[in-house]
Amino acid sequence: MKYIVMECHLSYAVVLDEYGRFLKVANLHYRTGQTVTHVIAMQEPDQEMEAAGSPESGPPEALPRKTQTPSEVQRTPEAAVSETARKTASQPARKSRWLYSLGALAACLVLVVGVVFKTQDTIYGSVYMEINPSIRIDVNRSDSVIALESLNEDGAALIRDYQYRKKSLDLVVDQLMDRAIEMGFLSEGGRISLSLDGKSSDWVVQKEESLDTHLSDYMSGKFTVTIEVGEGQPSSHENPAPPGTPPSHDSSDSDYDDDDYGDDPDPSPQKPGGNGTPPPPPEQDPPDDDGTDYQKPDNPSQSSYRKPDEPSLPDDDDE
Amino acid sequence: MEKEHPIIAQVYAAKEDMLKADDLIRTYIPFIRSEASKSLMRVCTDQDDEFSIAMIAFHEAIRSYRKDRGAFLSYAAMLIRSRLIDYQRREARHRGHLSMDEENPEDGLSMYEKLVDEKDEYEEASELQATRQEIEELSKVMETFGVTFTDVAENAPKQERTLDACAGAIRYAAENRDLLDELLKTGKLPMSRLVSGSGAEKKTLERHRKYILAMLLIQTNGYEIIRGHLRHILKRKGGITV
Repeated sequence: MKYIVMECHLSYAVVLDEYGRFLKVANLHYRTGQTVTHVIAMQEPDQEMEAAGSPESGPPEALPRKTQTPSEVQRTPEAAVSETARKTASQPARKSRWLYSLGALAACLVLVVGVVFKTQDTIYGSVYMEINPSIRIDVNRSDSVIALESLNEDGAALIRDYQYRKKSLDLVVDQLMDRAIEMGFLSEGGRISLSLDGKSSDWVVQKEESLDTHLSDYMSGKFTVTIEVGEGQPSSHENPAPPGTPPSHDSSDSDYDDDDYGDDPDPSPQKPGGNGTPPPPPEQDPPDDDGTDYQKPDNPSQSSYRKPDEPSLPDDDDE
Repeated sequence: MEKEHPIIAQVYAAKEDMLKADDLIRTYIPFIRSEASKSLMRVCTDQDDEFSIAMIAFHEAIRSYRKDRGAFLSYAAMLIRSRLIDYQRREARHRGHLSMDEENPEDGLSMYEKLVDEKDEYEEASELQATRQEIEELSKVMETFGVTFTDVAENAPKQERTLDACAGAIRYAAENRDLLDELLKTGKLPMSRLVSGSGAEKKTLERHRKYILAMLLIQTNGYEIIRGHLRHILKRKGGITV
């Protein structure tokens, strides 16, 4: 076999054989354009090592020096054996290289999916709702309810068998309102206290407002209730439809001091309001965050009432 | 040894970059020479074939080195030693036979020289020069396509079957000169025509794009010597593959 030397480098040369093979070989002091008959081919690394190299793996032949017949190509046994071994060795190597990429992709996907799922389940905020039943609604970042917990016995009754999963906050609040009415926890002149807690104070503020509005809207057309949200700015909303019901006045649009929470200046709507419920049930103080006190029962005498056997709640989120 | 750490980075950088590889090798010539001498049990000079083999072995080491193979220089030394041993074994086996290149003491000619066409020095030299010119020309054209001979060597098919498939495509192009004209004019490889004309698998031809490009260029005007050398390509299995 004859080879033309096409290119010379320090440590190797590129030659072209008569069958159109280009090979990298040892540069035995070649010159470009020279024709040689004896080359020592460079052995390529295993497939898995090659980054962008040739797709085939078999090493080029290392040909022995010519003896009597110039045209005969003799492959030494070692070269043949090592070539076979290399070919078989690289087949799985080629496959596994591909598999590595696949594995990496799968791992990335798992990671992404995991993050997505985790975000869904992370509590972003909580809404403490107290009518008489006291409950806590946990939502994730997209305002979708991920947990619902009762904070007292009535609360437990309220939410028993209620499906909350994946429902929006607004929807859940509405539906629980309806339930409360159905079950008799809430009726004309009743009061709903909402207080919010969350990772983002912006969210808290914004949600407080929107819930307030939302609930008022929802309840108008039903009956009059007092809705207290957040910092204890009770806002009672009037319902024009039911006749004869005295509008509930709330003379306090002013802020209360924190200490004054629970001193409801307007006890009247509550009592004659046909409150089917027993006198303001013992309410649990929902877990406090440090600066905000929640509405206490309107009956001042019960302001610190606590059912003895109700466990005190752990502090969930701090702010 | 702390000295290893910078070299590992250099090795990895040199794996794909030929220039960096050459630089690295040049730096370590003394090392390579001394390792070769150790294997040969005699002083190895730059002129010895063994030195060239040691250098290509060092280059192979760069290409195949992985961190989990230990220190790079030890790995390279081992590879040099093993290649030189292979070489020596091959030489020893043929020592019993008459060497083609060995000169007959009587007339100063080797058998090889007697058997092939006798050329005098001038002929050989001029032929070499002519070949070199063709190669340089080809190399320039390949450069416009962004391809070097090293690229082609790395991209070329090694298995018989694939080589044949590519040869089919090249034959088809040789018989349809307009294809070659198109190549030169547009600067793009007319792959789809090659696939349909030769019946080879697109995947195969795509894999060896650079190689096919080089071979097609050789079929264009001006590379008679190289084409003459490649006579086997066009002769094999005569006829057009339909």
